[in-house]
Amino acid sequence: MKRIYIVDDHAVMRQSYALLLQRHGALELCGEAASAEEALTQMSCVQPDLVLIDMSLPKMNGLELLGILRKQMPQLYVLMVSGHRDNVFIDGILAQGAHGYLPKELAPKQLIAAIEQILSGHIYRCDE
Amino acid sequence: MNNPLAILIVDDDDQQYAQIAALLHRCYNPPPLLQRPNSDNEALQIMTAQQHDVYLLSCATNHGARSLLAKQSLTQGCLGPIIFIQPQEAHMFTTDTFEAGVTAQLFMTDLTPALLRRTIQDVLTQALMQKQMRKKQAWLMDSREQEQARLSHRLHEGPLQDLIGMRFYLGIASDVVDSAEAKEQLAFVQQNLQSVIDGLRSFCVELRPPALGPFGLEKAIRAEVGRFRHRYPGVEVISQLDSDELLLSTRVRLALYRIFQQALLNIVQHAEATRVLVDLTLSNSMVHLTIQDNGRGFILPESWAVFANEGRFGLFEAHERALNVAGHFHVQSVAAPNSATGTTLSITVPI
Repeated sequence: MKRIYIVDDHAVMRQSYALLLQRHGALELCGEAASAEEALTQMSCVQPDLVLIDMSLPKMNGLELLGILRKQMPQLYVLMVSGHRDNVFIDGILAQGAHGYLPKELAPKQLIAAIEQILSGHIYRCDE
Repeated sequence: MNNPLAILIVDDDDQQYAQIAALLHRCYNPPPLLQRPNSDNEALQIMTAQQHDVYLLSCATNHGARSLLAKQSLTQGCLGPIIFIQPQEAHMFTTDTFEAGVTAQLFMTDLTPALLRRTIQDVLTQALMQKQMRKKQAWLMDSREQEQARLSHRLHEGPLQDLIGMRFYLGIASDVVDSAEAKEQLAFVQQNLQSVIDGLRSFCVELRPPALGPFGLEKAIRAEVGRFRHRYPGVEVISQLDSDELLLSTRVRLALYRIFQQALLNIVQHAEATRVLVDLTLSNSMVHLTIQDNGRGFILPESWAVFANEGRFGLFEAHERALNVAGHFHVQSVAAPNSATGTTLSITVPI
């Protein structure tokens, strides 16, 4: 089982991701946080394989969290999600070390496809 | 002891210049620091640099050239105050001279130290009031941007995320139901939700472009160019953009981005252009943004305030935005019937 950690300040999104992972045989939700700060205190203990981070977080944003995690946990796969779909936005996020980017409102199947692709060592980007 | 006033005197006539200089020396203690450029071109450069307290444009013969100098300097960033000095009352000023931004007029025949001193004092007071007004305008613009950013953030982080979450949840639900009819109905709701999400997102982007904060001006302009191409496929946009990363302050980024947006809006609404060139260049100490189109030009006003008085606020506001970040705003355009002379808008801002 691959361990997935979720960082999103919206409860409805965390619940949706959790439900989706529950229904998947090979992925396991190992923890969740509503802020970057909360994630940083928990993640080193739970040791996830992949973290899914929402760009827009209160206080420290998703990009800042990405920067810290790339230094502290270089083996960790990072999938960024946000509501934006501009290519320049996606390029900017991938340039900062994310392994994938997914616009938030895409179908659940695409989220699973993104996670599986990243876990197999590939970069995932979903252009419009 | 007061600092001496710095005064630029533009006068081709040596005798008249000497008279004015002598009068000024009698007006002030300590005596003012006087500078006299050798040509109108040099005068324009000095006036645009805005390093003097007052600009005296004296015209023994060529009133038209001085009027043009005043107009050019003001459209290129000079804030004045400008005083015209005419040889005698016979050379009356036209209203456009004042619309060009000249603050006061004097006649050589009437000139006394007291009148000169009083007039300079008046225009300096006016200039101070204008400066305060400009500060208030800048504050208002900043406040409006902050309010828009706050609104955009609340919409993006509140209702928009909830709608996205619900749509996502419906996607999961759709996967577990077997009935084709139920799947169809769920798909219908998802589609409608997506329309609302798209509308809300466009509104959020309009209020505050998302790329501007985390990725800088170049990325934000690229994103806007992408959206523009999508909306107006008949207009070719060629962009050459230096990367600014996060080198520019938020205020400068926002000012240049809003001016860029306004330029695109003008092109769509008025220019009937088929091609737009966008250039963003960063040097050691300056950032230059140029937007050039090949559409219909327009007659440049005496000052941008003239446009505002006519209810045309776009370029007036763009000019104000440039001034608020100590920038130079320059527009080159010619109105020619049935001819695509184009318009070039350039802004230079110190980094």
